[in-house]
Amino acid sequence: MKWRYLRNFIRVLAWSACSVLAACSSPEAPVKQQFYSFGTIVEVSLWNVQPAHAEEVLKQLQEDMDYMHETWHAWHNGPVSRLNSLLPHGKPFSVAPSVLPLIEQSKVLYQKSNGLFNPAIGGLITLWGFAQDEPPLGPPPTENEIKAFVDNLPTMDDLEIDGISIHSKNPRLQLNFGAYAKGYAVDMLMQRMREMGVTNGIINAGGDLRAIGSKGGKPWRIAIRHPQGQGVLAFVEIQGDESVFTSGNYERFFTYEDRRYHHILDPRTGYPAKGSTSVTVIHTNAAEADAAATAIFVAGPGHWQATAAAMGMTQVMVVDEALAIEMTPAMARRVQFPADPPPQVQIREPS
Amino acid sequence: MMQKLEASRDDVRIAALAVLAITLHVMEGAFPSPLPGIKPGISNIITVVVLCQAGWEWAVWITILRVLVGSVVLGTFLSPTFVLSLSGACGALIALGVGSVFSRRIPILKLGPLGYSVLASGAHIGAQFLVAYMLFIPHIGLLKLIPLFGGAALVFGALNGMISVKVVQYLNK
Amino acid sequence: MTFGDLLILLVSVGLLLFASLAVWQTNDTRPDRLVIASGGKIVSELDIHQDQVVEIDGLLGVSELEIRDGRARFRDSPCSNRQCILRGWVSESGDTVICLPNRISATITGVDTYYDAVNF
Repeated sequence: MKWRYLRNFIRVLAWSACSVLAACSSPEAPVKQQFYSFGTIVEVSLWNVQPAHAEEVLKQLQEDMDYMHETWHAWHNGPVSRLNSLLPHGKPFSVAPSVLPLIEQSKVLYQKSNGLFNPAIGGLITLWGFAQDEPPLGPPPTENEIKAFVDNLPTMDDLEIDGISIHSKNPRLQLNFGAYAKGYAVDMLMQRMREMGVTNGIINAGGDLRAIGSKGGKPWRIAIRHPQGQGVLAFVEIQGDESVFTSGNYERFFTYEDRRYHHILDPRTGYPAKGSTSVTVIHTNAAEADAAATAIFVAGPGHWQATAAAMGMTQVMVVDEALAIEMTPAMARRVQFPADPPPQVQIREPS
Repeated sequence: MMQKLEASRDDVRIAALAVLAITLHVMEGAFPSPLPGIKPGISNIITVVVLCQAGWEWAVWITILRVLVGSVVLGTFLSPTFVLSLSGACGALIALGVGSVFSRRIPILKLGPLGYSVLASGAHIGAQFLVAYMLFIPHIGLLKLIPLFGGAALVFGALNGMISVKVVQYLNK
Repeated sequence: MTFGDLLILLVSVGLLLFASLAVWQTNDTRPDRLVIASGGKIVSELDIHQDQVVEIDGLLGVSELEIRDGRARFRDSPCSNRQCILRGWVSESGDTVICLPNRISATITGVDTYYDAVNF
């Protein structure tokens, strides 16, 4: 073999290597800001935005957040609490336009989830002590109190809407959009971000997030925290326009006499839903993802597939109380586990 | 009526070249490779030389025969290994076909054995990854292996290419 | 070597390098620093391997954050529900302790920022 030939070849390789490396600039860091809203930390990450414009965007998002938080708040003074004070009378009254879309979409999602997602059980949530700023101290409600509520369970179907007029057929119906408002808000915030010309970024509201675009061509890498609180259980790479929402029994809870009571109530039993520890859903629309994560959590291991299918979710991961992991095939294709060896998972089709 | 099958001279040549390719393929199979899936692929030298000397159709014949018979000899016929081997070969042949069309139509882009070899090895590995992803490992983690296999494909493709150049030069003396 | 050969070579090397850069990223996720934010703005970045106690000003008052043996926690806080303190020690990259009422958050970051956000 002629050495000249080899030498030229190596030259070509070296030259192309250098030019490619020079062309690829290392990714810059996104602009990140934390806000305190919706009873949690909302972190906004913006990519490829001029600092001056980023300031503007963040300021606007903060205003939007504060507005939505107060407007949809279940127990602070506002349209929702006004609604809740008028609903028990059973007579029609007009509902504020800022809340109407929430109610209408909730009705649809209530149907799709076969009742597992039910924002009409605000009364039950209050009974358990989760409808207040401070975490409840216990004790849990009595069996009789819960039974009384469940026997005449208020549902979204009990709400009749006619234009902007609304009335309730069940005097115990109280609205609490806790399982859903965050998702809806994230969608609204994302829309605002887009309107302001941002095409790449993440809105992370207390761990539940929606992301658009990418990090300079590279996908966003989202870690899913281990349900037991330490370290990363899994991660997914998202880009384009995707939401990642997790419902967990570790987010809000209280302990009374060595028993833990978490905030995701099963409308069928009146008690915190059993079986699941955390449910992660990937979907485009954040509001639907939020509601679905809740409903699938309530459905629990063995039953979640039907709920996932009914709500149109194809990418679902369920961790049960024994930390066994089940997921849909679509989720299995994209979730990655940093642990070595990775945990065993069961693949289940949504059906 | 039984017809007498007569082998034309071309048939004999194809058979001989195929045997040569198969032999190289089987010999290579006897050597352990550091990583599953990474092979020098020296039988591809035959493919490229045949392409340059006799045209694309001949290259297709030789290569397909090599993959089929080689897998029977090695005992991998119809196994996942065979599926990957066949996919890689098809990918390479398609790329070589496209390459030879461009080479003829656009004189400035005329390819020599080196270019064909690198093109073939790149397409080979690309097709294998595609099929592996669709059939065997539909997991995004598979993509992490692309740089490693791609690098090997480039290196071996270039080496085989340089050997092919020598062979073609020798044949055309 | 013809011009066509050269072109193929260059394109192949280019593609390979692009794929390598895209796929291989450093991911040293060993805990490295504790990033403390108050009211949404980063106020302090501390070495997670240096034992210390720091006082951070928040909305309600002063919270105490402790770093010991590569772990972090809230030692004291002016909030009424004490959830931040009850959370206990955190030790891995990405883990966060938050005192919502006092608007203080502390996150452990790794040597490389491997994750863009944490979902929980």
